[in-house]
Amino acid sequence: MQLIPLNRNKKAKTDSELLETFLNNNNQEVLGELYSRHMHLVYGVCLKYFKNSEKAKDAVIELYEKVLVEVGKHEVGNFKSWLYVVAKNYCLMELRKTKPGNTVSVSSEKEMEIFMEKEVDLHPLDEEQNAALEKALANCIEKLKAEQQQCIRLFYYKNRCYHEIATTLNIEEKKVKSFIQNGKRNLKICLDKQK
Amino acid sequence: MNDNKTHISRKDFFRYLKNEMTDSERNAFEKELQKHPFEAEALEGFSGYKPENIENDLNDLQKQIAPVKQKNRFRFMAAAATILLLITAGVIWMQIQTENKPLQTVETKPVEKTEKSAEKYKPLKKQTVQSEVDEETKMVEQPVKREKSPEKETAKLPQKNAARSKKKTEDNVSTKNAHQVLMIVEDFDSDETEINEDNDKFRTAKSAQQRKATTNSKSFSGAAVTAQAPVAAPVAAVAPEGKIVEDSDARPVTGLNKYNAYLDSTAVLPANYKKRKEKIRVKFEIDTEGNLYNFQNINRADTLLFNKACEIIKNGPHWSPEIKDGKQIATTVELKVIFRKKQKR
Repeated sequence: MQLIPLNRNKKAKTDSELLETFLNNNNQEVLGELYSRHMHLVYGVCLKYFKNSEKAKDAVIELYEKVLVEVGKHEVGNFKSWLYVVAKNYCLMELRKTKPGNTVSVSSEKEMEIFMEKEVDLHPLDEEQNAALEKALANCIEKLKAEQQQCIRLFYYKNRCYHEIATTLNIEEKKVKSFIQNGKRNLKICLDKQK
Repeated sequence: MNDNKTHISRKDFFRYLKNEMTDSERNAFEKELQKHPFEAEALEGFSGYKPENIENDLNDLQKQIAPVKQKNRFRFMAAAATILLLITAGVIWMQIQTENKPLQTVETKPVEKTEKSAEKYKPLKKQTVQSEVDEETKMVEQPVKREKSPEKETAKLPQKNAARSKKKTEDNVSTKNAHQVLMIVEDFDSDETEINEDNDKFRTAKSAQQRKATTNSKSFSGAAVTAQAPVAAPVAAVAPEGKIVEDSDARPVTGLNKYNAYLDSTAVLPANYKKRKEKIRVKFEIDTEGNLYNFQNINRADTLLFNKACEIIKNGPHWSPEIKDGKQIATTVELKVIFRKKQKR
């Protein structure tokens, strides 16, 4: 029951709309709403790199402050993709500070801008396929190593989850992910050669 | 998982981590992860942590982000506004209810007796105060012969008043010559029975002396009595034969509650009258036999209504005269008669 009519849910604004609103009126609450939509992803990425929940939490807050300053300085086409790069770079920079001997690749400003301009670069396996692409893919899959071939067939054509594939092939889930990733990269190389 | 979504929701993440998805849902989710590296890396980060801990951490972080605070503040304000609205509505409703409730008030105002009336209406009774009275003595008024002439009494009056005002400062009690009492009759619960009860309280003159200051409120228990000047306490007086006489104000013999009800039923405005109600303040005198005369229109009200009010008072219940020092004396009374239109039922 809706007791307070003023509190009815409005149609949620898109990321682009919120970003535009923030850039127009510099309202931090708007950016806060936009950031909190993707905050769990930022936290996940920070956890991956820092492997410490407290450090990761601090990083999430610091990244919010960084975004607050930086978002107006760049032409952001896709906020989520831009945030991913910013978060990843921040984590890598922090790791480089703590471990000066290690070399960690950090995306340059130029790379960031390029990344922002294009949407996620989909693999042919993840795209909608036409007859020609299907035939080319079938040829390339035949050329993959046995484990990669099995994992890709079970995952994309038999719609099995990682866990099921791991059980079927009697291997670890991490290995399944790895075979799929490596198989996709080899397929792309193969498809590019055929063009 | 909802395939129509353009990205994986936070809820989907936790369903996946908590192993709440079916195998086909897991496959669809994992395929989405293949398309979105941000989500894939985040999921890698979450692996090895308990989903509950991750949720708690995210809730902590959420509290530090502005929109959540804003949302809560808005909800609080909306709730406060609703409560305020309900209270206001309640108060208005109560006011309306109070306005509709018929109220009848009668004010009796015993005022200073004029020299003229003192001459014209001689008190018929004489009282004798005894220092001690037997508890079993009956309380019956005894008419006695007047000893002093009115002229003599009038001449002594200024001296008496001076002496009384001196006494007022001492114990805040004076005789009725100087008092004015306002009684709100709605709360006024005096009748014959009550007077008798009070008589019991004043069986002895000694105890009456001690209770002088509090007697008035006691005799009209529950009444709101406003004394504009020090009010004379009813004094128990004893006749030579040993019978006690109680001082009292002039009042309808039926008691003021019944009298009030009588006024309420008879003071009715014509249906086509311009106003909803009309107050008529009537001043009249009551002689020692309870006869009413010399009616005056105090608030210069509509003459027709004033005449009607006089008629109602004259034709109404009989009035008993004021008793002071055991004597019946003439008094002037002010009465507020409120005319209302008859309510349709």
